[in-house]
Amino acid sequence: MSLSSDNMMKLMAYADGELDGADLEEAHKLLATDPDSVRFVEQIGGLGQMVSLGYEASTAKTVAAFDVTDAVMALAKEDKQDKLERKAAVVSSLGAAREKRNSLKIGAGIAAALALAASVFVFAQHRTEETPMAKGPSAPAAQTVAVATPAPSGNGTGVEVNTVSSPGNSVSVFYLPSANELSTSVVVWVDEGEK
Amino acid sequence: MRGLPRRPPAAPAKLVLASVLAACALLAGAPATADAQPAGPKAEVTVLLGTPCAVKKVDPEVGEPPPINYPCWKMSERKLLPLVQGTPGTMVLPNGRTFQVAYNGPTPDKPPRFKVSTSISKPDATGFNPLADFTAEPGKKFHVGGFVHQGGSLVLAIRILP
Repeated sequence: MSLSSDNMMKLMAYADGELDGADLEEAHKLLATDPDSVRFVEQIGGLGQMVSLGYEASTAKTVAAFDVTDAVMALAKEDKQDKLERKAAVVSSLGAAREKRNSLKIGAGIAAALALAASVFVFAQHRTEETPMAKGPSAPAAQTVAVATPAPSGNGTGVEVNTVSSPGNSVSVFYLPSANELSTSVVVWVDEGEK
Repeated sequence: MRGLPRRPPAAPAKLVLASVLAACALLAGAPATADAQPAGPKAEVTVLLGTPCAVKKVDPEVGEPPPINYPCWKMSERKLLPLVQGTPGTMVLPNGRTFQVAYNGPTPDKPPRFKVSTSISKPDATGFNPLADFTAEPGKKFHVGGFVHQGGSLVLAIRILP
């Protein structure tokens, strides 16, 4: 599209029904000579129609009014409404092109944010699963692999727990990541508090 | 230049002699070191005390602390218990209990792993409560812990040295 910003503003004003006199003629000339301007006006035409309908409605209401006070109030109300709609229409029209351009960027941004949030969640979950630690003097808060049963071998610790039994004590076997999280340590935890 | 005969370099000869002497000294010292330690596998038992504390602190002697969530760790004792079948190795813990490691022999694996049984004396000292039996590769550390002491827990870091 090769429209200058001045022509765009002019065409938007045309679509909104705001032009008259020389400006209107100039807009007609522009539309007659530049296909881009026609396309531009078509794109924002829907909005322009909506605005013009609102404008006509406000005029009709003014004509049909009998009571002067009511008419003035209605006119003021409609005028206010009309201004709001015009403002919204202008903002939408100006934003339409930007919106199209930015929609992909916004979508990508949302997707990136969701991906980031998901990765943070997965990372946090992963960390939580990998580093279960004991709190206080009780048993380590970790996955209990075996209690009084043979623990699986080949767990990468190089240590196999064959049997666990301690009368009067609660004995648990934990496979916990070591401090450097590169290896796993076997911890046999005796909870003497459950005697 | 022609009148002065070139002398052979003396430094390399001295270096060779020094190396030979150093090697002899090392070889002579090796048996003495071996005599100091009993032959056969041993269990290195490091007694650690993990306690809750405001500021995280790990004594350098502890090395890598056990994966148990105590912020403060200090080492109480480290001892080598010879692993002899039929003769359990024992050590007294800071809480007055006695920890025992019994050697059950090597596995037929190549290289062999080592089977040990651990137990701890009952609080009333009327015998031992078994804890767990381990089959461990040499040098691999494992932990036995949970013995309440001084507001924290005693954790024994054990590794078998062939």
